[in-house]
Amino acid sequence: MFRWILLWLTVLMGGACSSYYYAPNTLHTPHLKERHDTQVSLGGLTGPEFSGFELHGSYAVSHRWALMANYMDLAGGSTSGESRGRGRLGEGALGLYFPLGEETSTGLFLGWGAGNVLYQHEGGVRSRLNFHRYFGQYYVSVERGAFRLGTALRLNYLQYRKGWIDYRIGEPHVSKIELIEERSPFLFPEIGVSAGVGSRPIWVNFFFNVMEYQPAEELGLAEYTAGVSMVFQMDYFWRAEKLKK
Amino acid sequence: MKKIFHFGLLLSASLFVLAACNQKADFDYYYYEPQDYALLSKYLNLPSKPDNYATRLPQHIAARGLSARPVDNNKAILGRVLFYDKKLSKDGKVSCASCHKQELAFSDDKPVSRGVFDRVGTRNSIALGSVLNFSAYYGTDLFGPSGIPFFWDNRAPTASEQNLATMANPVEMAMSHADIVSAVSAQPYYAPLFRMAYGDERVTIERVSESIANFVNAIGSYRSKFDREAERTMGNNVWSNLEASNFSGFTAAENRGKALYLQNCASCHSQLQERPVSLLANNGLDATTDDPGVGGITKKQSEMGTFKVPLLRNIALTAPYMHDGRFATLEEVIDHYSTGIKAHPNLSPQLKSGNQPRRFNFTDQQKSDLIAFLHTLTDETVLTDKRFSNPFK
Repeated sequence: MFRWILLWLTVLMGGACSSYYYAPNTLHTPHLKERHDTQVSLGGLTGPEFSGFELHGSYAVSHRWALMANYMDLAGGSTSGESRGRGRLGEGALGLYFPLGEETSTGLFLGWGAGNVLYQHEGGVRSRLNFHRYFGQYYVSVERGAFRLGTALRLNYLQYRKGWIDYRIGEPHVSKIELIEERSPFLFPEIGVSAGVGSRPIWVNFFFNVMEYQPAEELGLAEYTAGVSMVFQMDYFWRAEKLKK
Repeated sequence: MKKIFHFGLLLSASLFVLAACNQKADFDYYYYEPQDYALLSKYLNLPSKPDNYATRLPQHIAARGLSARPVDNNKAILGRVLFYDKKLSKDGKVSCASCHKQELAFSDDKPVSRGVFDRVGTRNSIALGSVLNFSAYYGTDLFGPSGIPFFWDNRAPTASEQNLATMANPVEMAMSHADIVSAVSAQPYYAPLFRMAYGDERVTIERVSESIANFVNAIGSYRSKFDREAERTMGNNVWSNLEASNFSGFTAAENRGKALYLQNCASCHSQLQERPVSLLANNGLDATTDDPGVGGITKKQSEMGTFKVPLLRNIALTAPYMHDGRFATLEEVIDHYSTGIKAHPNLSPQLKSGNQPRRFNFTDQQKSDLIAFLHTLTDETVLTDKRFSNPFK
């Protein structure tokens, strides 16, 4: 925790100059209870020296099976403006969900995603890394009154595939990338917690995601992301429509 | 139907995971602008990402406080091209590499090398295979920050000054500094290399010599059998008694040779081949001064007939020996020290017994043991290291 506070302080003090080649996207905890339950969310996400947005959608295709799709788009750069980066990740997952009583839902998803991280440094020199990520995610979501809580554990298999690197990006970026190339693929866990307020069908969710891999910093893997999102339970609208009819 | 669906899902997931396994990252590194690399590739075999010329000295040497001189990779790459470029000589037939051949640990197999227009030099080409050791330094040490001087007569304090003098030497490359600048400027492949090394394409003699120096300073032979054994046996213990401890990876003959070397040779050539103990010495090749050596530069009577004391790294590969290449084999060298030292007025004290030349009187067994040991100083890797090879197509 102390290290994260330090990282935040570093950003606030304007010393930002690191490059990151992976960041955990939000571990979503869709509160699925029955067939056709649908949740979408749009949120802002931030991490050490970058920020961006996320889209999420989940849909219960049957009374057990569900689909999930996520997209994350992050951008960042040094405070002096000499370098800037952009990272994207899109993924899809298939899973099983289990309602546990009135208030709780749990589920297990298996998914695959692809992403890339593009950096442009001083002088226009660039690096671009493409990766695939396979994951299994278990989550629990509790909804009581105006509050929602969720937690999830995700096991990732992160595989860097191709990369185009202009060597002139210099250090420490080159060393990080060479280390990534040497050590890829990575197997590591992530934990996410979220807390939301609202009422059906709209919620405001705050979340925090942490990954555990050592030495993450040496490899340019961001250890955490945090953010806020608006969650819409879309099924509420079409069910309401159906009731009207 | 449901079962088939679930089975299908499981099968897909398994195949998916299998497909993901063990795929290594495959990154392409670019260093030059595509048009620059295309131009360079017309003339040169340079890797698309820069070689790393930084060196970590073995622990038994680093523990004594020595460190390799820092090298700028961009300048070393440029230096590599310059080192092998024959256009830097008057007749277009001689490069630095003509007399410093990689396969011979950057030495020449002729007693004295031939320069432009087949002109004959006066001294044996010094092996550059251990320049890294010459230029290794303690930061500020008793030899000054510039390390060990260059040339047999120690007239160049640095590798930069050494290469400038060689290029201008009428026998060797016979190019004035202005000639060098215009020859380099005329070659299209240098523009991108200068840009990478210096930020612009401007060719100056200082940049040329600095780049060659960066390349030459990085040439090191520190992965010999002797180094491996010394590092394993001594590690950080700089006070380790080398004479007393046999190296387990050495043969009996090599260990006996090591003991003989440490007793009789190391007082000048150094125990660990890290850098010579003396900067100059007369080793009794002649009774009179034929070639003044260091004395010819310093004009000191006491230094007449003295020459640089070389390190013995790769010595088995760098025949012929001595400043004039008079000895064709290591056997002849050892015979000289055994019974042939002459009474030169400036004969090194280590080679004297009273006022007379010392007679080591090595037995045949001792001679062969010494030679066995000297072969352990060979670093085969430097002979084929691509970073130091001819980049021209």
